[in-house]
Amino acid sequence: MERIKEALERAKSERQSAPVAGDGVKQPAPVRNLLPDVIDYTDTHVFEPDQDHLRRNRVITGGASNAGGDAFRMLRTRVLQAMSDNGWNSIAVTSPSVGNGKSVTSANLAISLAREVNHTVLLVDLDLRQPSIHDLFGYQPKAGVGDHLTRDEPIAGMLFNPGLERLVVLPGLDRYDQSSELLSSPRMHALSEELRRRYPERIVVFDLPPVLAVDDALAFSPLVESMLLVVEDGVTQAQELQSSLEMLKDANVIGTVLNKSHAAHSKYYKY
Amino acid sequence: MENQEPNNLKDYLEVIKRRKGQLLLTFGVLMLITLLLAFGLPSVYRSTATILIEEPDIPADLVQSTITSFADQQIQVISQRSMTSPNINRIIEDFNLYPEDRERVSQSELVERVREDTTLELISANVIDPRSGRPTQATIAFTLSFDHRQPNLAQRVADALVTVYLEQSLNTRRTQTEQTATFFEEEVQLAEQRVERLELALAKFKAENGEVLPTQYQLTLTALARADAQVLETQRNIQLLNERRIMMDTQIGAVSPSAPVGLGREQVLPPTERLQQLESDYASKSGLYGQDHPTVVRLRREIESLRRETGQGPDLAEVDRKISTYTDQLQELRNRYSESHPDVVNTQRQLDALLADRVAALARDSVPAEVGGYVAATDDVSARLNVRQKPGTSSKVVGFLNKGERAMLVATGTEGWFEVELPNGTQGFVSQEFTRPLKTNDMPRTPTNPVYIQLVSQRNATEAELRGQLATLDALKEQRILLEERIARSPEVERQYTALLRDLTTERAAYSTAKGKELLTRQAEKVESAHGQRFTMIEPAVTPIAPHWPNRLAILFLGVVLSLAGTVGVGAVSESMDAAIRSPAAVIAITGVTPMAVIPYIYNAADSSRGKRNTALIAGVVVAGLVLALLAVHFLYRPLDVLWYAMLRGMGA
Repeated sequence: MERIKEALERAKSERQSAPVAGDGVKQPAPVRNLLPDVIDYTDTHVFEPDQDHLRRNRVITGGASNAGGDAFRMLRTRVLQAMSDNGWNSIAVTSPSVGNGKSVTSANLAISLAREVNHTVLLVDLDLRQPSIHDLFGYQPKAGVGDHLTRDEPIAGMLFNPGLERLVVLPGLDRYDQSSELLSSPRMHALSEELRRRYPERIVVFDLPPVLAVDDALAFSPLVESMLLVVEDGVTQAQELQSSLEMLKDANVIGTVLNKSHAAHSKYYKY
Repeated sequence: MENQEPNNLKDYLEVIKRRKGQLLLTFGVLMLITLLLAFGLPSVYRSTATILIEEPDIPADLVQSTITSFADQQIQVISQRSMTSPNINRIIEDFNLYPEDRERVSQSELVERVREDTTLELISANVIDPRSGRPTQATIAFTLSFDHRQPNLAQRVADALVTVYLEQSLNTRRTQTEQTATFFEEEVQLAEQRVERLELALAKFKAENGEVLPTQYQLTLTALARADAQVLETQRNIQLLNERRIMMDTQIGAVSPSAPVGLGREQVLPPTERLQQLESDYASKSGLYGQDHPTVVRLRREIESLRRETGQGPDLAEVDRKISTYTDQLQELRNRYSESHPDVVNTQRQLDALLADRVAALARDSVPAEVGGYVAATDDVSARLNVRQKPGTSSKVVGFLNKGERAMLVATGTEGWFEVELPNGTQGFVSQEFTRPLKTNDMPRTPTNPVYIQLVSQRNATEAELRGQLATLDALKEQRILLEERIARSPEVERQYTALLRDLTTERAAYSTAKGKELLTRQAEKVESAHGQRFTMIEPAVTPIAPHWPNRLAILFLGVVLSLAGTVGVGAVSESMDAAIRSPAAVIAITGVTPMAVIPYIYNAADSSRGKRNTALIAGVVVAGLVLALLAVHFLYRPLDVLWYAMLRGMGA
């Protein structure tokens, strides 16, 4: 409990100093002037999420050592290594089927990446079928990325900071049936380029729909540099994993994550 | 695709934990079925009667029972006879069985149900067979049970079934014995009839072929030899007698029947005799003196008066004989002397007188043949005349009419023949040619010459003897023929006789065998009725207290075991069908690369509270199950306090 208190206090202090931190990161000139001065922390809505809500949704914010946190740190490190090796700065997180925990994983990965002080992280909810990132943080946005893709709503108004330094979230909001068309649209193409290249030290994490459920991930794969496949322990069938890998064979799948592992839990988890 | 097989306890626990919901559901459903079965099935009560098969009181070595089939075979037979539809229908009616199904189900199905609810179990024991001395299995008793939901009804029906069985047993054995006895009785009767028939046939055969039977053969041979000898002897006798008769006939021919009468000596004689004497005198004296001589005249007068007196003329035969004598004499004298010689003249005169007499006699004697009158042989007959059985010379001779005898005329109808009756009563036919009728009082002149009479009688005796011998010969010849016939027939008769005897022997043997068997059967029948093998109910059907079925404890136990097995099976099957990835190794197997991170399951408050809830629920279920199990044992198996003391006792001992 003391840790939680500590975390809360730290979060409070961070929020107070957030604009300062945000100002510290100076962005280079954008490649395309699609979003001139959009990403501006002054415009970004800073939002302090409820810790209980985060915990309920298994979003790990505390820096304390626990099994989940350790695992994500491990993931962060390896992802960063892979990215720096190849000079990438965007990664899409997907999974074979619904419910494998890819949204939670992408959120936790983004948080973990953000803790690394060298980067700013942008988490984009591209699961237009079932946008859930904002729910994880308990934030109710006025517009989502879908609105930008369909109605050219300005991105700036959508972004929010969930009380963590160097982390900005671009949420989805509404559900779209033609999500794969949206994801492969020129506007999406432009947006992705913009998001990746606007800030060199920024890592963009995309949350994609399941590979096998819809073709969104497949359609989007050319627009992203690397992909991460979330496998759910005891649920994802070997066949599903194989099919997913085959479908994504042209994309750069840098690796897999075995999620919800009970074996790992029993070994380390001592809550 | 290789799946990661669980290979240690931890993995199994992992699997259980993973699938606990599924496993609990499976187990729960199976246990529910088990409980429904264990407590929902209706109780069926079984009432059992034990029936002992009693061995015969009298050992089988002494009196063999006619019922030799094995006890269990008999029980099966009796069972089939008892469990017939009519019997079962009666029981259903009597006890009002299955009233709820009577309307719905056909009668035959109800009967089938009774059969299914009836159980017959044989009780065997290892015994030593007294006959063969080998150890064997013998059925010594059997039990008859009836199952029903109502204990008292089960008992009553079982009782009724036992009654039916015992009755059937009695009937079956009685019928069997009676049938056997009747069979042998009929056999004996048949055999008896056959023997009787053969005996009758043999007796008849013996009567028909009495003298030809093989036993008589030697006697017949002897008799034949004796007959042969007798034939020879008789033939010799006949020859002798014939010779003697011929000799006697010759002698008789030479002797005159009339005795010479002495002239010098006066005799007082009856008129007939006197007449004969005088006639004799007259013949000689008329020859000697001539017709006119006083002596001759006197004699003639005397003769005439006597003839008037007696009514008798001169005997024609006598006259004829004298005529022939004098004719011969005259012939001889004429050869020797001249016509004028006194002897010749004398003889001529006598002959003339005789001729005259003859004429007179002829006139006198010509009387008609009348029935009731008499006939005699004429003078042409040398000594006797044949009397034949029938008219004709070829007919058999039955007697003789001697010269001088007379026969009574019985009938005259036949041409050339008279039917006559001889003085000795013999009747027959004589030729008319050699007979002449006699006047009523004209008796042939009785021979008077003693020598002649003697000779005639001797010859008659010889004649009779000869006839006797001839008859004997005929008889002997006939006997010989008979004997020879017998000997000829003997082999055939012997064959038939032997065949008859053989048949009779066979049939007698068959008869005695059948009779013996019948006696045995009768004995066996007695044994059977009083001391034979029989069924005795040693334990009557009682009203069952505890249900026979279902064994709820066993169902429970089995259900628990099967539920566990089913659960394990379901787990194993779903585990084997589940190809889910469960470890980094599985990921490596597919991707070839270690996953970048293994993220443990992140628990939140809801998870832990749900976990607590589940733990409490499981604990509650376990406790409830334990209580239920204890209650089940208490009420269904044995009260717990009893069990407790039993357990203590078991440990103490």
